[in-house]
Amino acid sequence: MSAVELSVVLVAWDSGDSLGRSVQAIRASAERTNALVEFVIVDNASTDGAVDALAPASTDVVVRNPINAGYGAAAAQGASVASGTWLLFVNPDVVVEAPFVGALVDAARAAGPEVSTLVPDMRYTSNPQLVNSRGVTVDETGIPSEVDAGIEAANAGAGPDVFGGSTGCCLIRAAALRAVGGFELCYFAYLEDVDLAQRLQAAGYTSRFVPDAVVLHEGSASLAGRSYLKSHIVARSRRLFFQLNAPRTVRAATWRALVETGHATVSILAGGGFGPLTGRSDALRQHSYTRFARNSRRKAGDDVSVPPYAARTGLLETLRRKRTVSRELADR
Amino acid sequence: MVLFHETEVLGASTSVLRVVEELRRYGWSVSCWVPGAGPLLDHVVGGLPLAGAAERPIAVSGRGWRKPPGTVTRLRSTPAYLRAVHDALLSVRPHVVHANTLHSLPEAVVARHCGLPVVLQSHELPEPGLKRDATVMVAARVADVLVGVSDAVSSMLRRHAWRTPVHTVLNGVPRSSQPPLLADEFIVGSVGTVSWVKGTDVFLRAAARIRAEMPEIRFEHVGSGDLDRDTDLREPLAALLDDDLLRDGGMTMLGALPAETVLPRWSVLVSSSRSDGFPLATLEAMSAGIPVVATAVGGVPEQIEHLVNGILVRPDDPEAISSWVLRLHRDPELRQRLGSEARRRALTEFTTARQAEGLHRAYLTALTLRLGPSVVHRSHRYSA
Repeated sequence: MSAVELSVVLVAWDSGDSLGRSVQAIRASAERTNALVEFVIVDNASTDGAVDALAPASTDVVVRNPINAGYGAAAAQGASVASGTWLLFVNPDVVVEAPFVGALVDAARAAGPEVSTLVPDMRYTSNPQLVNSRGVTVDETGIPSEVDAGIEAANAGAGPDVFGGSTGCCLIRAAALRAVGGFELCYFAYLEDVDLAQRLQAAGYTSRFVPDAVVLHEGSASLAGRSYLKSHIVARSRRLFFQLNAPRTVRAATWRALVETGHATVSILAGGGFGPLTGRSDALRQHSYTRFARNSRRKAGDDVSVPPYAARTGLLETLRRKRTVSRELADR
Repeated sequence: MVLFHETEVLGASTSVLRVVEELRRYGWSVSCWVPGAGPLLDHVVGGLPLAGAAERPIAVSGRGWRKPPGTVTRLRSTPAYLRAVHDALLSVRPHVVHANTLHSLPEAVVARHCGLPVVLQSHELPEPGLKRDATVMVAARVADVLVGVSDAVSSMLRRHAWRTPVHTVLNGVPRSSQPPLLADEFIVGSVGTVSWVKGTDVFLRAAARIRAEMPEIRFEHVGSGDLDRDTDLREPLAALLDDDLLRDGGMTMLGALPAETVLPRWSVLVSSSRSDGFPLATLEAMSAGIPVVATAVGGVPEQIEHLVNGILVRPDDPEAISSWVLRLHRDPELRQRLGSEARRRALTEFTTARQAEGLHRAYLTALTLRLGPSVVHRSHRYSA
């Protein structure tokens, strides 16, 4: 039997009809290639029956979770049961066009062993001219962001090498994922991809942008209408990310404090309630774990303090991008 | 990562080792910590990733601490041992730590100190008293989820669990290939460590009674000797084994053996325990279609329904055991009926798939309670 080349890992949580549409579109796209593709669907305690409604193929694996332990845990489960050389992590609300899988498979076949991640061009479903994400990056003060988010695709400047992929949609080499210990589960949701990208970078892997692989994604499908919950979890994840990965210089810490204050203010004003504050205080509860995880990474030789950081993104630039995205969403 | 507390391959470790493959289906990769050289270490090497192993100086009783190399040396070695556990956790960086029995509490404390999610599974039903209550209280503070192997064990845990969720995950047995044929020779077997708790003396007394009436019935016992805690039992057991009724092949003490190697030749299994959480031996016999005569203690009544799929007797009652074994000897039809019903129940209700499902839920709950956001994990606290 041929080895599976590509495992598509989808984490479903009350994803509704979008799950079926996404699976169907990716399957149709995969059929245009000669790659052996399997689907791994991790059902995070959905109550909408969307996973049951799928017509499974013989190559599908379904993992059912009785409770929702977060995206990171489910993605880790999917990666563990998947047998493919490459793992395609896709959110159920991502819309895939026909050439998508072929473009990624071609890029994967051409990639050297140092390439751990292939990053597609994600655009907004509501405005395909606008970039949703071309991967993730971390600036020199340890602040994560989406590459080119909110910028007109024609003006965006992502080069062939990017810091890492967003688990909204990206292809990750299974062996590289295993080599760095997989996903960090303390995040629950958001930023587990940046944490992974940072560890992959520290381990010497690189990531490539694949401009021919275009997908449409709106974002926030799972937590739409739950602004407090989302802002709490995002703030918590950012704080955890800093505890685990951020440079510990006074300059970087001061800049992060400033940016975080601005971030929290914007989130509160945007209707997220006090989620940004409760989320940050919630992250402090994990102090023992983050200290343990840092020590463990240090012991394993994954020195997380020396990846090739991007230049610092200005506070005003961060806020400008957030405003652009918000306007686009409001105009839909 | 599973923390084992014993070096032997006994019921508690066997029950977890058997479910490793099923857990892989949910995406869990299992590694283990073994407390020193022994059959368990030999068993797991090559089969499971070994996170680490070191001689365990920690004992659970005063007598255990006094055993060689002595209390002082044991106390001196304890910090180094716990550091070794800590180093193993640092190397593996597990997502969940599964402390397999209450005896693994010291290792679980180390995992908790690291901020890791801890599931503590109790296979045992310790004697009631201050020591048990204190142990369960500490276990509830250390673990994110407590798991009992039967409702009886879970009830014991719930008394002192406070807000810690208690899940019941019944042990399962793998599907045995064929139900046994009725053998020509009638052999009655028993499985368990030679000890007071397992009621080895009761089994021998029952065997002597039966042999007095039916000398053609033979008896076999599987299990290693552990009479350090039960020194008072040494002489009575030796005297019973020296009895004319049990000598010359009447009773064979086989020592530690995998039960599946002897079950096919047994006609009846006797479980004479004075306390038992949810014994694997009875499940294995049921799965093989062998009728079981067992004492109604701990979680045994959750396995066996009297005269439906086995026989239940009161503890410390060799007379009742002997009379039921004799009746089963005389009544092959009853034997066949109880064995078939036992096999049906074991294959449908006590499966490794169901056990893995229960552990999967416990692991995810622990993960969410320990590492999840507070706004999410509150809903899981009472979900057991």
